[in-house]
Amino acid sequence: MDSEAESEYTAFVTHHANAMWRTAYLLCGDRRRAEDATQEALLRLYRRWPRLYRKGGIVAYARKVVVSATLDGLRRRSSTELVGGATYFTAEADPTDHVGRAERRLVITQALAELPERQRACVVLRYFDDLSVDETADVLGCRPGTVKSQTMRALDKLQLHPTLADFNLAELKN
Amino acid sequence: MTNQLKDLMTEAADAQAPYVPDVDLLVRTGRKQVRRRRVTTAIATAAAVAVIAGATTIAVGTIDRSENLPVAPAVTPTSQVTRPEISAPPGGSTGLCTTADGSASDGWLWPKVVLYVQDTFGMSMVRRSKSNIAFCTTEWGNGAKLSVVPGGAKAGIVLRKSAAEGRGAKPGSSVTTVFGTVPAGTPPRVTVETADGYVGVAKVKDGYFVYRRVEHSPWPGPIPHAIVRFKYAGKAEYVAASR
Repeated sequence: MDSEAESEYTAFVTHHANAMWRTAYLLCGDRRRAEDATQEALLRLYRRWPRLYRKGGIVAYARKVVVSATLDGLRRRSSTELVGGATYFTAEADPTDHVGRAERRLVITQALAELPERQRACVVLRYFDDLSVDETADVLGCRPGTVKSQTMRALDKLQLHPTLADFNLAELKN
Repeated sequence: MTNQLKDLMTEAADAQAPYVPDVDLLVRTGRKQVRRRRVTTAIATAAAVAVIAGATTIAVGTIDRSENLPVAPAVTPTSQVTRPEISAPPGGSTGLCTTADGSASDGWLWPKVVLYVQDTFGMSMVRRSKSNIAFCTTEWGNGAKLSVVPGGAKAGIVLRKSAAEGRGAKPGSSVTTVFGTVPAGTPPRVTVETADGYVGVAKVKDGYFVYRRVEHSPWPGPIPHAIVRFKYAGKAEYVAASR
């Protein structure tokens, strides 16, 4: 990789790594695991950077690999392990935070953790990263119809989740 | 609210300290991985090339290119025809090597193949030792039980008839081989007209020519005739030998 491309890569990492990590974090609920996945994604990005740099589509590719790396990392873990885990969020609770904010944070992360990974990815990509159905399908490597159905199922589950009972998620389906 | 879910997720992500990667470490690791991949690819490519080359060498090595020909199964003459003793051509085929006067020759063991022509039914070749020339005809596959009709040199050519058996041979056909010499210097174009009226071009090399033709001439039987013509550049074609 020539120096110009490498400096572009450095700039990209500086500006986008945190966004990639945030997506990974919501997908796995674990800061360390999200960091690992992001780092792996950034390294994959480095290997393909010269081609991506010429052809474009860097952000889309970066999002795709971070999602892929995160989900791959989850699959490698024990299938019995709950993503994130109740104790994890308890341990992470910030004592200086307002009680309300901490609770809301715990609510969504716990609810996401109980979704199957594909449904969780659909929710995160559609409503956190603001991707369209087609973009989400591209990232997940599935058809738009699958994204729609997975998202609907995820929202149904979230609506029924006891901790999210106070939130009106019905409008998201429309 | 449409934004409620996004807000919840944003809050959850915001609660964590921002992720700040070690860019230098990333770049160093990336470079290392790229180098490793290149080396791995190079090694894999070299290994693949070596395997292919090895396989090719083994395959090619099974082809006998040695001057010393392998010993073929001995042929038991069953014909009543008086013939020279059969020597052993390569590849388990049967055949005949004679000198120009038609006497038996151990030409199969001679180191130098001057030239040869081949077809479905066998091969005709001229072999050379330090001081002699042998005209050889092989018949492979199931070969010919009556493989020999003596064909000594006469009228400037060695004419030989051999069997055309197996692998698509038509009933009543045989192979006519015509051997001969060409004058020193620039070789002429040599054509051979066989008994069936067909005129073909002979292969010429190092002062000799060989021509094979499968023609309708029952085997065994009389040797068909052949007419050999030479054609030099800028000169008229002429009959060099006829038999």
